[in-house]
Amino acid sequence: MKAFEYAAPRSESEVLELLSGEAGHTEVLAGGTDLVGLMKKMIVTPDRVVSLSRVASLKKIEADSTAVRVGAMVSLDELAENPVSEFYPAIRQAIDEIASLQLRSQGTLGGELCQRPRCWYFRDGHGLLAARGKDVVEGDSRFHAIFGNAGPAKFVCPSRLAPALVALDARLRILGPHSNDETLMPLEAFYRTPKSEREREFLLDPNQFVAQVILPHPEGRLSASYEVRHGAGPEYPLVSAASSILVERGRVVEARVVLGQVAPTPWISREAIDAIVGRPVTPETAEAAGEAAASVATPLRDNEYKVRLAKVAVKRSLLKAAGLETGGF
Amino acid sequence: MKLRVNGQEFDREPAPGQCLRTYLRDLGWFAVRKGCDAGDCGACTVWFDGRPVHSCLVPAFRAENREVTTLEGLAPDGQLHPMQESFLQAQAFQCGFCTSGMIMTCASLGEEDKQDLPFRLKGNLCRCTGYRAIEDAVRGRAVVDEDVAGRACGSNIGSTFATGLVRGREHYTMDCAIDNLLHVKVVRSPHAHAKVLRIRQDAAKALPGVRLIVTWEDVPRKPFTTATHDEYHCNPDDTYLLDNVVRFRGQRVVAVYADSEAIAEEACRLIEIDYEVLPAVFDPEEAMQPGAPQLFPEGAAARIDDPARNIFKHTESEIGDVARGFEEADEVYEGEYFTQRVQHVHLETHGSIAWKSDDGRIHVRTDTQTPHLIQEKLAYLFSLDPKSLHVFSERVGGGFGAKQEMLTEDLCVLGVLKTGRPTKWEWTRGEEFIAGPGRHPYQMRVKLGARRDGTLTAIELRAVSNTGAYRNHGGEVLAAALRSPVETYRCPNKKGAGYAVHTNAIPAGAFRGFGRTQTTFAIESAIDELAEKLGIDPIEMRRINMLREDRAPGAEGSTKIYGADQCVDFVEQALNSGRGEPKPAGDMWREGRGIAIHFHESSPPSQHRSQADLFLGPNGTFHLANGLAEFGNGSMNAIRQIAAQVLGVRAADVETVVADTDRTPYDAGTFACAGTSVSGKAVELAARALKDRLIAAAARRLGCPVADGKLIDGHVVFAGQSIGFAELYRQTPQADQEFHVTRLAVATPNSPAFLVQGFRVAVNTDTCEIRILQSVHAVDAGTVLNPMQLAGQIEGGIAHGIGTTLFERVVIDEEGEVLNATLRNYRIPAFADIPRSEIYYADTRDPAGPMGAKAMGEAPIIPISAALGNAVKDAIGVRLSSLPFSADRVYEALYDSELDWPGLNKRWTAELDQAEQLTELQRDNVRHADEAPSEDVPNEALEKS
Repeated sequence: MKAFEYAAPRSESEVLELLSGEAGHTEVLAGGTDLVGLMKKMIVTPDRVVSLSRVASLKKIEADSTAVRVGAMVSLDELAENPVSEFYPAIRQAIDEIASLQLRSQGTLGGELCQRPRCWYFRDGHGLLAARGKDVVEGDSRFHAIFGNAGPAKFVCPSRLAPALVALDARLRILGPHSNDETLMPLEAFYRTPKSEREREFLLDPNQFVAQVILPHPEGRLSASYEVRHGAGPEYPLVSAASSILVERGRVVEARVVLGQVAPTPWISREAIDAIVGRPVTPETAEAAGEAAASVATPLRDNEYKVRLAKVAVKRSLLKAAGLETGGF
Repeated sequence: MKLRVNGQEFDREPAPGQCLRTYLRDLGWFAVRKGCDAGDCGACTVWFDGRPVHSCLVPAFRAENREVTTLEGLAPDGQLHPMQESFLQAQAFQCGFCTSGMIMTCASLGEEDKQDLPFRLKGNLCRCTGYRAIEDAVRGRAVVDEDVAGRACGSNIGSTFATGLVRGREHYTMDCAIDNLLHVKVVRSPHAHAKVLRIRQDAAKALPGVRLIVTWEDVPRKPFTTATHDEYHCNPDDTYLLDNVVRFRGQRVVAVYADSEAIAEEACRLIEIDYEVLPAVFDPEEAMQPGAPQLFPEGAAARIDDPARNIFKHTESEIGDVARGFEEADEVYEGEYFTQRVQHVHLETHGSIAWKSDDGRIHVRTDTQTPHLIQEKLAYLFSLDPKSLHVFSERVGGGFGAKQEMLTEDLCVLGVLKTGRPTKWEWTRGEEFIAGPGRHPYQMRVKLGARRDGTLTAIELRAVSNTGAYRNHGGEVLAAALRSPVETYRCPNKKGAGYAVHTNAIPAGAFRGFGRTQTTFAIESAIDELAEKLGIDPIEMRRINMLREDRAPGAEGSTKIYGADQCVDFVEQALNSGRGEPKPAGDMWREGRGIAIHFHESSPPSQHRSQADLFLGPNGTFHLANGLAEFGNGSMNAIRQIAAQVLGVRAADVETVVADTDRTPYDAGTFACAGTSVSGKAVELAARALKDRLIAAAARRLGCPVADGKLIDGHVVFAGQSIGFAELYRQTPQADQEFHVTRLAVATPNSPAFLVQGFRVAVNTDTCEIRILQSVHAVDAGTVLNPMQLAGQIEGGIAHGIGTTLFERVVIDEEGEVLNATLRNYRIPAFADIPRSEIYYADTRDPAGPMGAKAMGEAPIIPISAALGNAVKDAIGVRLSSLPFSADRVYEALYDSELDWPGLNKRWTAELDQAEQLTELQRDNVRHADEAPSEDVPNEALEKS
């Protein structure tokens, strides 16, 4: 690890003062479960690390009648254990799938959303785009993107919570260097598919940080997450999906279906949404939604199997959201 | 920075960039261990303000004014926390390296959490136990028996280091504080095949704290092999300490010695090396083709059978007439099978520390399976008198074959010789993957013929082994691969051909199973395929053809040495019993069952020797010294039980020393199932000789007939008279010589063990998941010396086998780079992945084995892949012929088959015009991506734009 200066400010404004506008100079440290590993492998080499652990305002969960505001430094455990998570089954289920006791108590909501891709080319120092995608296309692409992979980015967004949060219409409160520099951004807009090595996979300037995640009141929406994995251990899922649906008179009137681990961003499946809206959730309509989601996939040489898993994940997340879990889960 | 650790105040600034794990170790809390340094394995788990965390992921600065608890502080001094007590009573460990983290996590669980261990223990990995013993500990089950004189063998005698281990007081290789330590780091080759042209080290040399930099020009140019075997010549000398030709990516090129690891790492980054890159080859079949890059053009001098074709070892033999055998067959099956490179993942990474004592001797503290052979090898390499070298281990955190290799000791001793300073080299987890020995990948073709009644008429096997850039173990592994898996079946016509081929892959090495796992996968899969063609039940097919009692090697008329028949019956009955999990509901789940068998010869194909030194002390207790290594295998306990049983005392009355060249006689080391079968035999011979002397001396003193003498509870007992050992010692002239014996054992004859493994599985045709519903294993291990330890070895082997069958694979790209050099991407089984197994023991006794025992260290991993493959075939009708059975492979198998599962064979097709179907945001992304400069724009231009 490269030597760095460590700062542990106590307020949001002090955090901002310590963040440099220059890319790569400072890194924000939340739970550390990703950043510390990246620093040990010298994939990121900041001169200064700004810890958020002492900023009390970032550790709060506040709820009113319209929304729940979760501080970025709330640990995954705390979020899952908080009564508000009952309103958002997709979030709780996603947290329940996450690796270990230790990672759940160390890992934070903000850090989970901002973790860097697990792509093994990136983690081995080939850059986020792995030689403009060449390494992936010519190499081993079993765990890479099947959607949104036409450009040089072939990695998948690693966040296990982002699909659920995007499905639930979450927004981020992002703070920047000026006193009135506060952005409220839909989470789906936060992630982007970088087109050069200069871009990160999310829209966060080096001198900005994520302070809060705002969850709108579900207002009767049902939600669920489903992860497809090979084995029951601590690994990342092969594919995941989260669905949020509003059902009136037996039919879906509004839906958000978001796939995870399939694209450089959380992948909102317009096809699945169109397929399910206006229909009741049944094994057949859920299957059709899964088919629709999978129909626009563009798998790489080694990951066609993920298309099938994506179909299954969409289907099961919808059935699970509607309370129709059948055999095979 | 101030903090509290285990209730004590500390005030010490962390080093720049230090994580809590190393900070705590610098304070002397060595129970905080490193398995991965990346938050995957849990070996470094501590409590941070009462909650378990991976301390390797916590920046040390975060601990300011916080309360940290490590295993050492879990209970007040001299006491045990209930969870420590539970781990002690259940002996929930083998090598013990995961134990401190495991206890810290388990001790944090509430009663409700304990009902959900598969989930709660996702963050703690154990490679040895298969988790059953850990579950028992958490559930409060005690298995340890009382240590009773005369009943040592057959009892669940606890390990000698158990109490220290659960208290966090046992010390592994790196768990010691040494002043003035130098740290080694190496520059590894970025090329799979290259000549080193020039090494520029000025910038590195100028770095403060760098003490020594060595290249190939600075080291003795003596060829050696990193592999260790009793028979030195079975592994040709083809390696140099540092070389000017690199033959695999990751090979060490320059070694840096510095005052800290961080400085050494920084210096490595500053060293510039010019290479002439040479063409490389990674596939062994390609490497055998004319014109393929040649790894060792010098050929004969390096003892290669066919240097032009990179064939290190070619072996071929035939009994009977295979061609005629196939003519006589009514059915013939032929198939190809592939096994992948897998890693041992012993939780303690390789490492050693060497230093010079005032008398000029060099001491090497290391984590080896073969201390005596390391001593010999170091003496040869540096032209030293072996007596001037002391090689020893304290606790060793797993091995599984990877530590039957000299990988770190040489550069540490070199550092001591060149600087006089104590020198340490500790590998990272990443280094294990990119430079540590893995299992040889095999490509196999197997052809079987049988008559309509199932009788085999011919077996033909061709095995091509990718031995990688160097030869360590390649020939021995090939010999083992072509031996017992072919011998398992009776057949008049057999033919085997084997090729151990050089490629620019990382050298493979010894791995639990030693070649037999690979060929057993092929043969046992093929037996099922042939049985299916013949319409014969696969279990019956094995009964018809497997070795029978009259043909089993070593069979002797009156002794029941043969147990394969019992094992098959056990497994068949268990699979028919209806026990285990039911198939999950839903049509997408398909259920199947399969078995595989294995006949196991212990010991290496070459030779193996062990000496035991045993004497009676004046106080009436015994002292046993044997050079075996204890790294979770339980051999140390086994040998003291053997001695105690023969001598009629408690196991605790036999003080035992192992793995130390100063304190033990020669032993080739612990591998190839030789721990119990050879070292144990030497101990038995020594104990019997000492017993005879004790009885003879007592008979002389008491005037009793020798024939009546017995050893009972510390006394020599005759009809009506007895004398205690301490008293006998006092009354016997020159008792220190009279009651001191040394005996040698060799690995002849081999111990023939059998095992049969069976699984019921469910395969999800939707998600490609394979779920194990029932896991059944029957072993013929002869006399069971320690039931708890034997079960642990078997369960550990099963877990190791399940991992290497379902998940594990070292992914290497076309340039030789390992892509998944972390435990998050190279997935070993967690608690949740491993079912509880049913284990049965055949009633047998091996007259050649110690106390009638057979070896059972490696065998339980061997048939697992085939048994699971046979079960999957039974479930979905498709044969998986490549390991591992990952989701993509299951998908391919399902898709490529002609079977008609509902909705299955509809391969995905792109029917819709993507762009029209995308959300605005996604369209934006795609547009950006499409606009991205094409490949021919240089990166620099891109970065400036």
